[in-house]
Amino acid sequence: MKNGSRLASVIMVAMLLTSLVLGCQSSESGGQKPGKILLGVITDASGPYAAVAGPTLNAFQDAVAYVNDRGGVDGVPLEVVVRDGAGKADLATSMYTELMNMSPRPQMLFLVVSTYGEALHDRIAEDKIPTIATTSPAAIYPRAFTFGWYSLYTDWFGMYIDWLAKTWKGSQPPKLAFLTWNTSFGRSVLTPEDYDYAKSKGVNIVAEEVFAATDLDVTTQLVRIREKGADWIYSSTTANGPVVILKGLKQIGYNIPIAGNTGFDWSVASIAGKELMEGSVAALHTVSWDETDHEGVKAMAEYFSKANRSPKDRTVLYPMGFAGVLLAQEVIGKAVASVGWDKLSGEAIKAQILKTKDFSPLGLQTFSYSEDRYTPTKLRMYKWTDGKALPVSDWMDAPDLRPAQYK
Amino acid sequence: MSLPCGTFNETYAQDMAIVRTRTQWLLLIGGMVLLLALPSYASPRVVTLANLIGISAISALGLNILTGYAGQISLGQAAFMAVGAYIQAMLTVHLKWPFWLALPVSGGGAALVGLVFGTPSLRVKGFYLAMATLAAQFVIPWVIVNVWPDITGGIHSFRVPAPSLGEGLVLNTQVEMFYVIIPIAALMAFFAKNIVRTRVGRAFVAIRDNDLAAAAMGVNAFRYKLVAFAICSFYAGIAGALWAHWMRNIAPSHFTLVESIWYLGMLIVGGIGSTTGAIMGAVFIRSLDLGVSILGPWAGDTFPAIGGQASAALSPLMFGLVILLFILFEPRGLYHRWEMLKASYRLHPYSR
Repeated sequence: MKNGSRLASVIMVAMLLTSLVLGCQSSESGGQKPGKILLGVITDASGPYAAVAGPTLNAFQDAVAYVNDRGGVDGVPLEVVVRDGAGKADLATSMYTELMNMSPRPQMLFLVVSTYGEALHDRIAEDKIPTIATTSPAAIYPRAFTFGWYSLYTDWFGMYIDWLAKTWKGSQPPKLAFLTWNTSFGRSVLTPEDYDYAKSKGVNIVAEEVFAATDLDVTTQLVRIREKGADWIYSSTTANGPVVILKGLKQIGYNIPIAGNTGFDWSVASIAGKELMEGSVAALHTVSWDETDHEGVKAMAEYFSKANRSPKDRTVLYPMGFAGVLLAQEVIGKAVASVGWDKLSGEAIKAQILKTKDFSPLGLQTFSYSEDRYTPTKLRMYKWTDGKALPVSDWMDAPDLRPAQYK
Repeated sequence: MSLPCGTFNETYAQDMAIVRTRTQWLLLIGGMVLLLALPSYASPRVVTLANLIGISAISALGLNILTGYAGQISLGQAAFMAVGAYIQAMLTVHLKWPFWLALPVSGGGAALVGLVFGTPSLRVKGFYLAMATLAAQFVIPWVIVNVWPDITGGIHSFRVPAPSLGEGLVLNTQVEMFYVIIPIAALMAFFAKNIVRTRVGRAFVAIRDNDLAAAAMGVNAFRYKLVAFAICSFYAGIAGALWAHWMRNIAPSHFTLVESIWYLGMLIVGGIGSTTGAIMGAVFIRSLDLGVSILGPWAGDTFPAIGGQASAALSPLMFGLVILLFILFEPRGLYHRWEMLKASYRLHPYSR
């Protein structure tokens, strides 16, 4: 009996000590670490945007290699799972369904085509998967689980207007003409908010011309713009869109500077050539490939060369993709630190995204999110000079020019 | 329909029957059971693909009635789908109509629009009628974008809620939508098959074969052409309405000329003039689309020098190649090949 009660006492003390040890463990090491963290990407690898979207995919793979070389997230490596939506919303839906039914499911999702974000917004909200999407208002708002990869196109235009108003040296107020695609992307800047903002900054919008994404000639539109005496042309186009405009300007001998957004990048320069791009201006959300002394560009270029990437991958989408993975590493890492591996969820990651303020991984791009604004705001103006995109302004916050229905 | 050896039609009912023998009934019922049980054994991607095929098949069936049976070519099928999709969206979002009530109204609305664009068939046919229907493909999206952009969303996408069957029963998963889309598709296929067996269907075929002779026989060619346009557009409207709820989002960019051409492609591949062919064509083309999206990244990785460009070219290349090969080597489509296969089996060894 005496030996039995002694044994019982020993067992009870051992249990008490064990529970104390377990109870004192921090939540950071709570739960088993997964073997890997999946990042889902739905891109366009075989459709109309393939040539533009391709570099993002390569950037993801190289950035994941960069992150994993540095220990991943708390020792857990990242892995990218890529699906091709061929630029079509219906295929993207199919790919999304597949990704959401994987085991384990991706912790975050990246959508490289605006159409995907718009089509999948409600499903993403229901599935509670934090998603970074190319930014169209219908993809981001109403606020749920989709966040912008960069500013809204309306905000980009506002940033350009700020720069134009600041640098304009003419005696008369500047006259601006729109010449843009007749698509959702192209017409995203033709909003009352953008018009009012331009007016408030003393910029007169004298023409609004559109053309189809498949058009190869815009001389008719350019002639009409010339008749209105525009000083600048603003275009929300990409790929061959800016090239068609630049060629048209040369054809009719119309010497007018042209400005754009993310579409006016190195992919356009490689098609248009140095001479046509000269003097064009673009607001970009990433660092320039031509800032070769930049530490972030050097780090990115190292992995670019290691993977033997084609020069055609040197577009704005590459640093964007690279920075996106680093953002994922940051927010997932913070979510794990906050709730532990066993409680890691979409809501936990979303909470960290919303706390992200001025996060600039390798200086490639700056991410800031808030409860009110689900898109980053930092942009910089670049001018194409002798075949290089060189900054002509500091990093500035783009104004909030969201269309009224999205506020 | 060719019958198994030893089976003869002895009554009018037997002669007209779509499903004639016990084996055919068993296969039909078994097939339907397998189809309805698909979500239980297929992957979610397959279920999603099945939903897309179901919607496409409805539209292809409608186009088959107009082009395959009535012989009137249309290059505006996607535009008529857009009409159905936007009417459905407007009714369910702005007017809060229930899904089931809005669905037939969307089809009816699309049918009315189809009647308008079918009017040129009174005067023109063939290539010129195709051009007239091409006008629909440009006019309808223009109206959606420019006439009431505050209501339709204009060029931008318009969010559509998941369909609901009452309080608490919202159909927001692929499996739930599967059990809405597939039964509707089956019903529409049944109607399409039966149309051909009616007086109206025979009038369509007569007009297709020789509209002057049909008129000489007393068939009101213009009236029946308009009926064909209306039925085709009704089907397109239903498909568009289902698309709107399945995608949960519509935009004019979902209903382009390329989509209209794809639907014609489904008929060419599947077999113009047969209901089963339209379904086969929808299955083939949508599966091809998915296959190319899987092949695209592989092509980009395998040929890195031409990477993005190679894979970007794959989709139009494959589609064009398939259409070309079918026109050259299998002009009567997959359904004809399937019928030949069945006949050779039945007549073996005399089928050689």
